[in-house]
Amino acid sequence: MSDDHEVRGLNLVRPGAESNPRVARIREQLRANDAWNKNEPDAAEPPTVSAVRRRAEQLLAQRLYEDAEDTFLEAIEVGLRENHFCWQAALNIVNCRLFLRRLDEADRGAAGLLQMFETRPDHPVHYLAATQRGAIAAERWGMDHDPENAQAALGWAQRAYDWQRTYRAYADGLRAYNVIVALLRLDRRAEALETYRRHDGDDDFQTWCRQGEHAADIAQLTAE
Amino acid sequence: MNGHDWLAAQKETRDLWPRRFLGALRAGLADGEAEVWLPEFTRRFRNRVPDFAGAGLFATLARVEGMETRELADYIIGHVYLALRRNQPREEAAFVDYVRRCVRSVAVTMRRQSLDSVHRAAARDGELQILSLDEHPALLEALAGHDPDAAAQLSGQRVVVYLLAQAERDGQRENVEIVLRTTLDDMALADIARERGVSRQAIAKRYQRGMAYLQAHREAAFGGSTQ
Repeated sequence: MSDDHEVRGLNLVRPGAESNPRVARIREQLRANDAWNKNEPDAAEPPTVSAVRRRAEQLLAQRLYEDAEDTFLEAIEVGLRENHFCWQAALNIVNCRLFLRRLDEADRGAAGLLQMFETRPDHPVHYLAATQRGAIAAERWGMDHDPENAQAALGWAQRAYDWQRTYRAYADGLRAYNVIVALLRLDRRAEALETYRRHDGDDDFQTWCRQGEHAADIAQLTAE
Repeated sequence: MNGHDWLAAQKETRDLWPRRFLGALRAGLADGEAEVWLPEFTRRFRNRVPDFAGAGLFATLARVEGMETRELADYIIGHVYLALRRNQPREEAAFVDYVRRCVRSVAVTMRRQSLDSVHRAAARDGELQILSLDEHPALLEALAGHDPDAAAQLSGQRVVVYLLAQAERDGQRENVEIVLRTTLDDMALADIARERGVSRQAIAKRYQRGMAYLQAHREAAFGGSTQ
């Protein structure tokens, strides 16, 4: 059983279970990799592209980011020859760069994707790339503690959250968790608590709160 | 911006560091130059060392060696860097995978060295050296089925000893050994086939039988706790 299998199945996470460090690590990988969690399948993807994209995803799952990036680029090239833009591969190129802490290139790539899809506001690229830009801003904040980066992280987290509420009727656990973490970064605890209460009954959200990397901060928030 | 523009922009900023580093390795790094490449090499791979080594093995090494996570990762990276200078990968495309295999190899070697002779003798069972299933959570969890708590609660050593004893009684010992050796000792099926002078297909069949046997006996091995 591989990490990849577990990520897709997510059957190791149960509400009420104790935190499992290995599962927590897998879920952290998933945080930045939700593009390849089959949540947003691309029905129009030609089989020739799928084969290359899957190969690249396997490299990504093995944390061979440099090789994965090259293979995702290849998937996009193959797709363009058939008039198809493999946006899942594009999102994962951003992920590869994020994981290698090549933050400027990652951010430019995500910004380019948002620009490319601006005439299709209902496309899932909008919330997936916004989630990535939020993670990039948070990473920058982690390096310099510049409040502007904390503010940017909140802006992107909120944008992903709002997109899901607009187009999917509700925001999923990860988007809500990201908003709360971004609010806590800015010490806006009352708003964080309000958002927490809004999602309190969502098992997926609770799992993130208990097993995400900011679990201790959120536990403290809810105990106040 | 369209797809072609986006792709062109990404290609312009693609990651060429591995290629530049390999080029420098092939040209031969002078002592002063080696220090120039090491920081970026460390920065890139430090966070990946636990995964490349195997999360369980890495955690065990940190505990046994009494080192912090970052300290241990840097120590392993130092060894890998030396290995790369001595014996660089031949193909550019295989660079990161080569680093991954080097990290794993250094970690396994460290663990073997850290087992003292008494422990080693106790761990050795016939020709099979069991480092401990605790260091291989993926296999432990595969055996535990869908119950990660069962894997967390049991000692891997106990599970292995039980399975081997049971397999001996059922005439499945050799098949189970092949599964454990490929996983615990990180040995390729082809290497086992070469060692025994049989075909790779024959070993692959035995591996499949061994895996099926282990799956069928996991409930007993985990004390009936897997549901």
